[in-house]
Amino acid sequence: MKAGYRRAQPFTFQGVALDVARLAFMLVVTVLLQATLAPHVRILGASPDFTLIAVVCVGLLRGSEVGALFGFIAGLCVAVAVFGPLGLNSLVLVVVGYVAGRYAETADTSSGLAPIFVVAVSTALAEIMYTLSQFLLDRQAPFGFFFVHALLPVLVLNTLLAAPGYLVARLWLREGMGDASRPA
Amino acid sequence: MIRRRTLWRRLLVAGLVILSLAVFTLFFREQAGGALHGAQKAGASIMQPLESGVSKVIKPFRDAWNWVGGLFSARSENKRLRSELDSLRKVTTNELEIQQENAQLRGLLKITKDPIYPSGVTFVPARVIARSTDVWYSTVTINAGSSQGVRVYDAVVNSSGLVGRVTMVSSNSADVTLITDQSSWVDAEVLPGGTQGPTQGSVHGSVTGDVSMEYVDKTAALKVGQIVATSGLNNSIFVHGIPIGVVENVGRQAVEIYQTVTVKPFVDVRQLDYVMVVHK
Repeated sequence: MKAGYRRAQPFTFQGVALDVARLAFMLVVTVLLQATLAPHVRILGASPDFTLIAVVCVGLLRGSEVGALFGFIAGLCVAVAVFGPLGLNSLVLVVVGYVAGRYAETADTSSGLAPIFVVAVSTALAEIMYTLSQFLLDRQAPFGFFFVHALLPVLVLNTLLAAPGYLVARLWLREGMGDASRPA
Repeated sequence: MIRRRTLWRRLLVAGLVILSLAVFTLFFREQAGGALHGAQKAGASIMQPLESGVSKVIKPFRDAWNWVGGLFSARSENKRLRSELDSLRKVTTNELEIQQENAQLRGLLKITKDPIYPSGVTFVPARVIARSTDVWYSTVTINAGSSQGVRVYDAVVNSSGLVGRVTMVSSNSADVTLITDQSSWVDAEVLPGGTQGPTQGSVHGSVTGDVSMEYVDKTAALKVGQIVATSGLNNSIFVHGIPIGVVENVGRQAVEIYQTVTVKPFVDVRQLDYVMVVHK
């Protein structure tokens, strides 16, 4: 498995439409899995964040702009599906999508460990942002509790799911604009 | 070209961040019936059928996951449940004991209000703390003695009827000879009596634990099921009318001058717990 982002080949309307359709389908599936499956998959007291993994994969495969946009829409959809606060997930996932995309655009992502590394860093970033936002909303938790019960389990879970998630996303998005798996 | 693209990218991300912050802020500032909340509800109502469908589709996978997860936790859960069961057993046993004790104490309380006991009679509640271990004696020890006002020859009853009499007293305990003991003799009568009045006799225990009524006139017509109670005659240590048992069997033989009457006591001497000492 090799990760990597390469500049898109010349756009065609058909290619863009197909890519948008694939991304939209991926978005819907991810949101539905997050709303229906994730709450039941509890390991170490935490549930995996399928949405974050999907956003990271899109960022790695399609770049920072698409990653940020995908993150924004995914965040809104998840908030709607699980009745979470609107805007919070979007804010976090925009940053995650952008960071993942920038990493793919600027660093060498040919190593198979790249998605795992990016998912781990993104998860930590997202959890810190969630915690900061909760702090702003006057909901506080001791650092030890946050680390043991919030950050660590999700970090482990998401990192474990990063490789298979990236593989599925790369297979699904193998054609269209900004294909990372094909040589330019 | 590259600069323009970089600028566009930064503008897009900054715009999305600002938009997210704006939505986030407005969402928390508006009322529950505000526009964003309304939009969220509308979106949720659209997604709900999809979520239900997906939920049904993934149910087998979810169940499989839960099953596997359950295997991992089964051992610890089993241990926890066993411990919980043990503790609940203790609680239940305790509860049952309390209920039984409560019923017995209520029964004892009724004795003190029973009209068969004349005024001036005093009652001392007690609990059986020991019982004889051999077949020759049918006695129990109670946790009330002379300090509580118990005297030798006091009658001992419980809510079912006559238990026996006090035969030995120490300061805080007393020995009670049960009506089933072979040395026990209680003046008794059979109720209801005939036109000549109740049939008299003496209830006597035996080493086998059977209780019989002796010295019953051969001509007296007794029936199985009649009540046997204390007669209180001859300055008896027992007040008149304490239930003893029922006639279980009546036998007449030509060579005997008395009838043989077997009595089944009301009191189950094997189950004695709370008793009342009646001091005349």
